[in-house]
Amino acid sequence: MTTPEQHDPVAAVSGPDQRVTRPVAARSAPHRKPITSAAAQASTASSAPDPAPEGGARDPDALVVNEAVADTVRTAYDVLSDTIGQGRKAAEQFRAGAYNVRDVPDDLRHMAANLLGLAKQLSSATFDICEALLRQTDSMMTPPPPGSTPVPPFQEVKPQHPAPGSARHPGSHPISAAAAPAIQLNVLFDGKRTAKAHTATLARPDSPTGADQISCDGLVPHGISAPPIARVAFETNAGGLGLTVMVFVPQDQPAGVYSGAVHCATQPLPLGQLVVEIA
Amino acid sequence: MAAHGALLQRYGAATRAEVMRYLAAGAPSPFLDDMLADYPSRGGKMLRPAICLANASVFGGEAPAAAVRAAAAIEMLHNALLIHDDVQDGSELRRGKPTLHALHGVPLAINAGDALLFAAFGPLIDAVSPLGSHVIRQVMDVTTMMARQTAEGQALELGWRDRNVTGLTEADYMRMALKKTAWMGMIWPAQLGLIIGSRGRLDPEMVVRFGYFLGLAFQIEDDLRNLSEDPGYGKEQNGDLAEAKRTLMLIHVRAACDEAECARLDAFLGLSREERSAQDVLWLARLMHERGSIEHARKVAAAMAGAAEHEFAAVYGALPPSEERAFLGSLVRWVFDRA
Repeated sequence: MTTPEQHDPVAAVSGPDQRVTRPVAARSAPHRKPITSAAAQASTASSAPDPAPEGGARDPDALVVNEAVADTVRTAYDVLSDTIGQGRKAAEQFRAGAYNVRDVPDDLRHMAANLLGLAKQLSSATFDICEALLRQTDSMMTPPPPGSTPVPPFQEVKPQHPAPGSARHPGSHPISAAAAPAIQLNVLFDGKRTAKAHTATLARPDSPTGADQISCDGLVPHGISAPPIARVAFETNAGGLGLTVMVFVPQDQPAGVYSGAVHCATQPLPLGQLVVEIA
Repeated sequence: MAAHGALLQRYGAATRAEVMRYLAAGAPSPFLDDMLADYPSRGGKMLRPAICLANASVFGGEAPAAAVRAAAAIEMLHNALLIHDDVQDGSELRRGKPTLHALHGVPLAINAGDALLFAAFGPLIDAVSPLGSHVIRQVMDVTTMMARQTAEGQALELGWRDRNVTGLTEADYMRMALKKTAWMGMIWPAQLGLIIGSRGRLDPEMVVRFGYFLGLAFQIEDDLRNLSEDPGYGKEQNGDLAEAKRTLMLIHVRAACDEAECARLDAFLGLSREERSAQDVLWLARLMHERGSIEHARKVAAAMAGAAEHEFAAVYGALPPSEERAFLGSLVRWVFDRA
């Protein structure tokens, strides 16, 4: 069985299993074994020059081949770095709903055209599924039976043309937030003070968003001089719908009305105002 | 790999049972449900689910039931893409039987592929729902990334052929193989396993490099086998040449041949599949041997395997020895020894 230690590419160069040191036998089957001297040398070529064989001369052809193969390994690492970088950028655009085929590299622009429809549908469906997932409760500790999780129906994304003169902020999702229902907000208070909330809903974010991406400015007092209420924490509702916000009220907080804007990390527009009253 | 046959069988049986449980849920629909279960019931190596389950085990082993559901989702999604691939490639056989579109026609096959694609999200949602929003976010991130990479890879391969793109480099080929083969086949299953097994405590990018080099070695070896006398079950020798598939060997031979040969090669690539003669296919196969393209690809595949072992040691080397870790390490050799 393979273990990492046994197959360290550097160790393989001088290890007892090295094939290149064995007498050459006539092959009776296609050459399909993976670890050859080329592999071992290629994987170490970037850090050390090829040693000359004992007795002197190198085989110039072998050197050329080894360098070519080593180049492919270097190229492979470069390709991976490039792809991951592009993937990160594309993922950000997908998440922000700002994906456009014109943003992809030239060599992909034309080739992806015939699959663009599928990609759009897939991304749309994935957003729907993300949204459904983010409503799920953390409290379910055993898997539900198959088919019990509701999945929203497949939505067809149609391009929306804003009315002339209407402003649309950059990065907004193609599905209008205005058309979506508001999020139910359940306000809880931590502390011994009596308090009540004057906010029951927030605007729905433009794109699927986790509770950890929603935050609130400190709740500042109105008409009185008092320090703001700084600790406000959002989490997904245990019921699977909407948000719960916990407001931590210090014992010595003066009575009064406090408010602060609720922000979402994925968009510039706030989701609304959180207003609470401390008795 | 043979030593891990029992592990693979256990993983395969658990995954298959979960897939069938999900496909059996709900009232059967005519012209659809039988087709959904067709490819999954034909067998298959279940390698992708096994990669997921083994990673879940070595990276924490938490939520084993969720890992099996994720494995079922992977297998369903893989089979959905096979249905579409068979249509796109015009394939006639899949796992020794007629392809779905050969049996039922293209429209019904595409519809079944679509349905299976989205049915796969059932077990995936059920797998991650109990694990909290952080895990859900990670799983959806790696899944959307995989979907995009796979679609791009397929677009590249089809686009190169449809538009007769000839000036490709080895980097182009690697980019295509990374997207088309490695991401869906190796990287994503490993990432799902890691996320679930660790309950989101580990970074899923940890396993990208190992999966990438494993996938590259796999794809190059697959392309080499197509040119061998034993191209694999249900495959035609030199079929990739007749289809003008852009392989590492084709890219290499075009760069290595002289002007006249290059002109003949470009003319060959510009023909439709029906127009390419068996004589020309044999000429191209011979040219690849003469110009060292086969040998070069063999060495590159071996080098990628070496890089995969290096990345395996970097990521998995510090983990305690286990059957699952050994199984994952054995995948590098399996790429070349598989039946």
